[in-house]
Amino acid sequence: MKLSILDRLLFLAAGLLSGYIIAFGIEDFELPVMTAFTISFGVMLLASLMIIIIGYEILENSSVVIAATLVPLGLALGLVILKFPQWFIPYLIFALVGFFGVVFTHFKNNTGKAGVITLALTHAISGLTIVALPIYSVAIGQSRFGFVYVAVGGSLIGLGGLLLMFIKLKKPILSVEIVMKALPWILTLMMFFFSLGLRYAYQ
Amino acid sequence: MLNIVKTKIKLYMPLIKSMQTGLLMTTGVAGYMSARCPISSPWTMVGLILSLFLSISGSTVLNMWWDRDIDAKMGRTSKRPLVTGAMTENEALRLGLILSLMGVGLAVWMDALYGLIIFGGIFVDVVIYSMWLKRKTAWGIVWGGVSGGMPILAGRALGFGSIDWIGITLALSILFWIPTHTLTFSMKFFEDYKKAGVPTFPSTYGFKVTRIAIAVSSVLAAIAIGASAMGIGVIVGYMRILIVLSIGLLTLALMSVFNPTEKVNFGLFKYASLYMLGSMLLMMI
Repeated sequence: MKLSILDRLLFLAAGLLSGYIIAFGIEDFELPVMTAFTISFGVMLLASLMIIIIGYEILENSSVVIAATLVPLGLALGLVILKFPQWFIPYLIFALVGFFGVVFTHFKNNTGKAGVITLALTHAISGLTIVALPIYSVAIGQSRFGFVYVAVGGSLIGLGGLLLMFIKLKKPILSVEIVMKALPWILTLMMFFFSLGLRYAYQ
Repeated sequence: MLNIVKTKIKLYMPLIKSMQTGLLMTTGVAGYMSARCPISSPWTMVGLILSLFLSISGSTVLNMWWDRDIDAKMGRTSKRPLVTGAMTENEALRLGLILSLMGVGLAVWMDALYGLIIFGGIFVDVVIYSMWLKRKTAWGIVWGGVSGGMPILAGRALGFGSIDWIGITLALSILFWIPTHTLTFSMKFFEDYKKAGVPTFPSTYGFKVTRIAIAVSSVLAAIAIGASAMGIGVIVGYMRILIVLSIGLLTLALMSVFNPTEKVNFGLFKYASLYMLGSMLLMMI
């Protein structure tokens, strides 16, 4: 499917927002948080640029599934270290097991039932972390209300991920055309909410 | 009168290769701004941009004048004004010489060392690369790369006052980046170059070796850009973006080695330009 000019502009906006977060949005955080967020938003930045340059065909590459796992994992890990550092090591172990599980089960497209379960579990846990953690953090008065915007971005990442996953599994909820039309909007809005929400990370 | 000027500009534009000229000019400005930021003299900046434009355009026109017989044999270049007859050979030669002389003249007037490097760039590009080596060996592109590194070295020398290690590393980053760009191009237009009898890496060493060469030169370009950025003192936030962009370049280069497709190869070609532009912007601001 060909990208329209509007699609390209939206991907560019998503890429620029990712770049903005990497350069300026995470400066005040500790090194482990900064590293985790850089990995996550770095993949977003590169994904936006490569979709603009190569088109949606890049999504068919087997390594995209592996790279895409880094987005929610990096973000979730960064949020956990930022707000609940006591969970750093257990969550890091989960992130590493999840990531290498996806690498192992998806290398050279050798996906079976194990691959689907590993991918779904990794995305589900990290996705839920991105949505629930900011809400909980605000609810207990640990962060300002605006931090909830990260959860909004997390919901969008989950929505985009689910739509793409069902297409990959050949059981689409919506038609491929609709999903591909919605994807640039979802990514741009997602990056907008992340960049906004991270500004309210501290009380 | 206005119509004649319009017609001439329309005729000359394809000879200048606006994208390539623009990209090389950006590297020259980035080299200058890496030493002088914020800009203290707007006139120096105007002179820098103008001299770079004139000299890069001039050498491009001279290359096209020299390579007109090759261009006629390749589908991609067969519509160029010198091939179609829209412009005479003498007119192109005159235009190339005038632009080059004006560019070098302005550069020398601004600063002797800056002018010398600009002259060196034109000489290497036109005489050593195009006239001497391009039709003899696939390794001629190394000299094309050396000339491509001259604008950034010249810009840095103008801003800093002498040639320093950062200027040389910046020039090396362009030298290593150019194969990523040109070798990908020579794979895409493999048949064209073969028809014209121009030796290229793919025709001499095969596609596999060419792809490995691209991957290696991408690694070296990323290292050179990283070292330059550290030497310049680019802020940490920009360094993070530079690392991410470099990883993107390496990823595409590795994809083109292990999982080559037409799309990936041309994606690498386009990304390499974007990478260089992005890196230069990060070093400028």
